[in-house]
Amino acid sequence: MTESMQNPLRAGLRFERTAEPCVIVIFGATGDLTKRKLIPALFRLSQQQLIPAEFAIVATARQQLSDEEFRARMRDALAQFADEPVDESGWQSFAGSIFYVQGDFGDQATYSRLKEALEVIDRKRDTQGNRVYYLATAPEYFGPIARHLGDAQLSRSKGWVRLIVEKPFGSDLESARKLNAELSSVFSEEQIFRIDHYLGKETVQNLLVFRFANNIFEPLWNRQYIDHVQVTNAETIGVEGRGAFYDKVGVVRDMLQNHVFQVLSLIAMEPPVTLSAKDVRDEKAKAMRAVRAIPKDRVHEYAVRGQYGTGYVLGESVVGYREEPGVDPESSTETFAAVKLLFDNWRWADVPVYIRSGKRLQKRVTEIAIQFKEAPHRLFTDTDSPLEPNVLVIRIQPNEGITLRFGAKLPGQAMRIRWVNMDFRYGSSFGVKPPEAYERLLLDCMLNDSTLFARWDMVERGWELVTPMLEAWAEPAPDFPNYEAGTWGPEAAFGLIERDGRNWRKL
Amino acid sequence: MAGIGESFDTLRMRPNAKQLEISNALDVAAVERVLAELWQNNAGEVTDEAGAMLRARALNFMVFLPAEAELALTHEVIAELTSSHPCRALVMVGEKQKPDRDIEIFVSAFCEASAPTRDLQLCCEEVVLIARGRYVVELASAAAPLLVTDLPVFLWWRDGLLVEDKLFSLLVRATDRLIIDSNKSEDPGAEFSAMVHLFKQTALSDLNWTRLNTWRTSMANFYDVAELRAGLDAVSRVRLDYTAQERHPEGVSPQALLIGGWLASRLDWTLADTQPLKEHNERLVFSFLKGNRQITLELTRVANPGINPGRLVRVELEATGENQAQFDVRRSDDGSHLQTQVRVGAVTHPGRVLPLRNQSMAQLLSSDLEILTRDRVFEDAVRMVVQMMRVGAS
Repeated sequence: MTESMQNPLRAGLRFERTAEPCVIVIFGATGDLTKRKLIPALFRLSQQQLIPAEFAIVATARQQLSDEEFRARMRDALAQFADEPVDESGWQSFAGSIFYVQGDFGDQATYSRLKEALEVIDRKRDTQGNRVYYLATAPEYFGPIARHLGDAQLSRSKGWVRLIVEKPFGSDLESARKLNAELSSVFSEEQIFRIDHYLGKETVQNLLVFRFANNIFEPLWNRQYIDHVQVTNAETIGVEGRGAFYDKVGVVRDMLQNHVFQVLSLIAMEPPVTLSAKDVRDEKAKAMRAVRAIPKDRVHEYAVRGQYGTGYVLGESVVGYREEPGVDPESSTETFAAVKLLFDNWRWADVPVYIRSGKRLQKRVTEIAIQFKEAPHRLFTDTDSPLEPNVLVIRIQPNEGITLRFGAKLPGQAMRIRWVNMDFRYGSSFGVKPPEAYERLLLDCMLNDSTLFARWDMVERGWELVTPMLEAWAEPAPDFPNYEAGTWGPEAAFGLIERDGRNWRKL
Repeated sequence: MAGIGESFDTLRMRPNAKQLEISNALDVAAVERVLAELWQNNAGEVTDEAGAMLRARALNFMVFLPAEAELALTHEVIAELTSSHPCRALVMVGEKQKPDRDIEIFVSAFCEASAPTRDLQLCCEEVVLIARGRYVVELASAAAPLLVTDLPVFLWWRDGLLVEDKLFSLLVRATDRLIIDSNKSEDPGAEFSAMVHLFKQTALSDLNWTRLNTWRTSMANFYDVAELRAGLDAVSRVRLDYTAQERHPEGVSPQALLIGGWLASRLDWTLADTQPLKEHNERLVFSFLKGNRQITLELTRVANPGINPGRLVRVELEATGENQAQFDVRRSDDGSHLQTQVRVGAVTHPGRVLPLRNQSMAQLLSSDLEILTRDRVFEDAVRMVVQMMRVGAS
């Protein structure tokens, strides 16, 4: 990492940190992720001068393409996916840093060619042997690519070497451990950056600021004042052409084990000593270790699954999950899950966390609602409206922001209370568009800042918590579909929270 | 202070803005009441398609204009600025040379769709205060009670820096950050000296310094590479090309002076106590010392019709000796791009081409409104510029 202390001209600049010279090698470069996210993000970082001129991209995939052909494809992709018109001179300058190496990921010869190409690029573009390997491939290639990189001596260099792994990181606890063992045999934990694009979202990062830069919330952030927490991650979309992939995954693997648990850990963690990657991730992992594991034979008490049938979403008639292209017509993959979790620690003892996540629900919303306990003594007994609890809502999408719900007296002679929302919306206070999650995460990796990446112990803990659920649901076959598209999930999900005397928030 | 004038002049008010007339007995409560009515009226007209109308204020934005003719542009700037910095804007027009006329106040509230989603209405309040002749000095006391409590106060001063001026002093006292534009200066030497004086009183931004961000970043980027950083300790010549200023065509462009001052202060060069060399009135050469090393700083005016007046055109640093190298940042002939290049000995390192858009006034201001603290690097650069101008004048 380059800092102002080393470079006297960098002091006082808007960005006091920029990435060091490096090459980013993208495996699976002809895939969707590269053209939709990675190249647009790297181009923008380059145009903002957040990555140096001594930078190169090596794209690797099976297709036979020349450098020029691959550059032309990426130029088209930028036109399609970039947020703003592409500056042609800027693109031409950037395109000169993109190279293509054809090869099969299972063929050691690919890595020999890659090694030769990297040596030439190091000389030509002064990238100093620094490497980021980005695995944007199907997950079955993660282990083999790492092994081949090791065999070709590409996991070491005269500079630094880092590895970015896309999700899913395994499909259950056993496969995740196996994959981690494969990666760890070649790369150290410090070199591995497991990407979870949720953590790159501005509002998720704001959770840290909200909790630890504001003194007013922390005294209330515990079992003494909080009744329960609700985490909602609702999508209106179905599988969007990814039926074959999603049918092997389901909502627990796709959302709960990674995104939702990452967000939950930010809510539940203790204040870190510093904002260093280690301190933040230590506290997150500690919080998740305190989550009480659900035994396989009691999953039915704590979790509900569902799969959508036909219905109406946003005014449109939609097909059921089993009718989606690529999905097994007899599929028992869950598209909805609701879970109740408990923490065994001082801060959160007896404060349940209710999580619901699903596809084809009524509304697109991701939020965390902290519901406070009622006032200890009822003074306003004559009011015509029932007393409601205070709720603090942290919305992640859409309309990112924070809402506090509290009671206020209605104007007039009578003592009438109405419950009102005090709203803070990011969009209304800061009208500028935040950077794309991938921009932030790619830059952080190049700066060797792993705070917003998932460490192995968090990933492992996530799998430990969901694996009993997945095993319990493996047999017998469920009675699916059990909720209509465009609703809030199966009836049983309401029972899960209502039997505790609580209700899901009306969203 | 008298009441509000009855007539509404479209130049004075932002076109299409909601506006209400204030009664004769003008006071703070009256302005606040009128603003509240405007908000209620605006909220009543919000349709489902327009989304929610939200009142958010992140700062107080005071603007001073020496002439009413500049109001229209200011309205546009504030409207654009609202999307990133929702604020209460207090626009003061002080026409000192005109016949005495007591302060008139116009109030408006207007909304813009938020940029990312277009589904929110970002709203801004604007209060325009116009005074003439001897009443101009009263503007500060009229504006102060209208500042929103607890929010930072920025003052965009669109006149020459008049450090002895009573109104200016009063406004600066109420301000967390003063924003000026040295590119508009008719006497850059006096302006930079005034800035040094003001550093003791308030945080200060110069929009001309903000225009140089891309240049400074490009130059800093050269030396992020450890091997090239040694070149900084071997710089013996700096070439700065600029286009002539509009208002002061014979003078050195403030942008060139600022970059020169920045390099010298950051690299700890000492200005030699010798008069700068003048060549054909188009080139000025200053001498600096760092230990035994002598550094020449050449400021050259060049003609380039494709580039705006007063703009930097090229910065080249030449290192000699063992670490011989050339670091070059130059503007393309049409002014639209920056090109960077490094040559170390016979080897050319990868350069790049960056778009260099002419940022709107609102974009420049937006960048400065994000910062509340003092910019010590800028202050050091200005102090060095003042030294250079003193040596040049002696």
